[in-house]
Amino acid sequence: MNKILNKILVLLILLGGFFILDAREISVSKNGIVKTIKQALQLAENGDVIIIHEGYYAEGNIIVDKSVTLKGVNFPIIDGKGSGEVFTINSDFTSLYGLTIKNAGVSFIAENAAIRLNEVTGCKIIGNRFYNNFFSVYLSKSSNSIIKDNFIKSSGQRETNSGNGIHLWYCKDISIENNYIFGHRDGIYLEFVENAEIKKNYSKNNLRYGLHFMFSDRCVYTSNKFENNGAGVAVMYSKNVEMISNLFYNNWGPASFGILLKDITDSKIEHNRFVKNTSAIYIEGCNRISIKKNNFENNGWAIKLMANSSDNIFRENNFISNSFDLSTNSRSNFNTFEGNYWSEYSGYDLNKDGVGDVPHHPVRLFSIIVEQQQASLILLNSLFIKTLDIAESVIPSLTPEMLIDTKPMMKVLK
Amino acid sequence: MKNLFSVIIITCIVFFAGCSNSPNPIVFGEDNCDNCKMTITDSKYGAELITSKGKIYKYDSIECLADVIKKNKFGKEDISSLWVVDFNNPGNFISAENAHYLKNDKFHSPMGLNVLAVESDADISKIYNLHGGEILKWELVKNYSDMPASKKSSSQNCCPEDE
Repeated sequence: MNKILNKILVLLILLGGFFILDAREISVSKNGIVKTIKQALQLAENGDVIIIHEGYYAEGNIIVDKSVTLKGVNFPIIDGKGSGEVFTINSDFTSLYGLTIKNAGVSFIAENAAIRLNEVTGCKIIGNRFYNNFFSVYLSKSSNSIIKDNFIKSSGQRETNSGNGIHLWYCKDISIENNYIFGHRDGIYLEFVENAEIKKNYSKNNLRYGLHFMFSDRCVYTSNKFENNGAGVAVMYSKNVEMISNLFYNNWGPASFGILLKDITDSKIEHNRFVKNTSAIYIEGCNRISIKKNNFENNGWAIKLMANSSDNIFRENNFISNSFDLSTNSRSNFNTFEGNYWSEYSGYDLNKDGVGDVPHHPVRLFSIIVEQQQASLILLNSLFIKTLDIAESVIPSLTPEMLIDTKPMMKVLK
Repeated sequence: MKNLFSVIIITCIVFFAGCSNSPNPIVFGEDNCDNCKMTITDSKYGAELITSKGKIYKYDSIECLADVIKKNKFGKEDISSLWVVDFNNPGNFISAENAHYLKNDKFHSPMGLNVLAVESDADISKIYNLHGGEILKWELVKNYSDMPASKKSSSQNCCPEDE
């Protein structure tokens, strides 16, 4: 009996010791005992917390290969001085909080980042600030990690020498939440990623895309804001993507899109707002996408639908004051339009059920002319074009006859 | 008379330059890929196809050009020449048929096939000796179907603790 008690006691002491070790803190400050982060990392063991006090630290490439937590007090500045990478994380369950990381170096071959997660799992990057890094957060073959509440800013002038804000390559189960990303090449970039959740981020003034998806299945992005990016958002070669409650605002330019969809299948685009984009949605080679309850306001083109897309459903959307609601390069139609509100609709509702009595042809004849002769856009508001459009809507001869909304709504849908 | 003569000469030069069968520089950050529609940004990659009528199509990567060829979007007789960007001289073109290719995941090309091109045998062995990979000829690159299919070929080496 005594023996067992003893054993339990020993075990408790050991456990206690373990917990004490677990909570060990190492303090780094310019006038303390430990002066550099590298020194602290040498002293540290798995589970330790390294507190970095306010100050300026330029230590070159800091490699983390222990599961530690790095916590900044008053945002200490860690400067990469424009050469190489700043933090390279090679250990699972590493966390970084409250740091300011600057100047990860631009390079021809290496994709240098302020923080790189290298084949790890269970990491957290929360509440940090990033300035002028080539890449800011770079996840390579990592999983189950969180990137949250970061402020990421770069002043990349040219796309060729500027990297991405948050870059994921071969990753799984990653959550990207509430980050602000400005001035990178692509704000958020995903390549070969599965199950990422991208929520409440604000991506603005990036040189190319606010968000860029490639070969990334089963990802969700909700409640993000994409504003004034070089070419909007691109979602390409992916399946089962959900895009819900985002705002796409002012993505304007000769080749800019709210969303560029290419080879996307079985996905949802719902409850989004598209305001002042050159083309709100460009759809090429996409199948079985549900486009529902979105608002398209003041865009050049609300939807550009290419002929190689089919079985897409457009339902209960509001099309308000767009120059063109819909344009397509085909005379046939394999997509469904139903119960949308079109501000261009000029029909009537005699039985007062809120649904227009005559179907609506959303494709204007003029949009087909523009598709073939860009320069004719100069005639956009001419009387001649208006007359042509009206004639065409009565007797369709060039526009797709079957592309109609059979139940156009009389009032804006809430 | 002298003026007229110089006008004729200039016209001739412009005319013949216009007809030449050489690639047109890509404006990085502005031109769009004719296959994947992306803005072309990485000056180490990129490709062009010139049709027999002289029309130039631009691509953001070698794999996008290969994709177009593989899917027979142009007839054989419609293609006049194919060009790829020299990895060692960003923005400059070399003939696709004579270029030397290296496939290595260290070099992230825009569409994920991770193939680069250089001009000479010596160039390719230099990069190969440093980084390894797989040396390819155009015929093989062409047959690497990319785009959605490239995912299948490379997803085997996805995340470490996969499936």
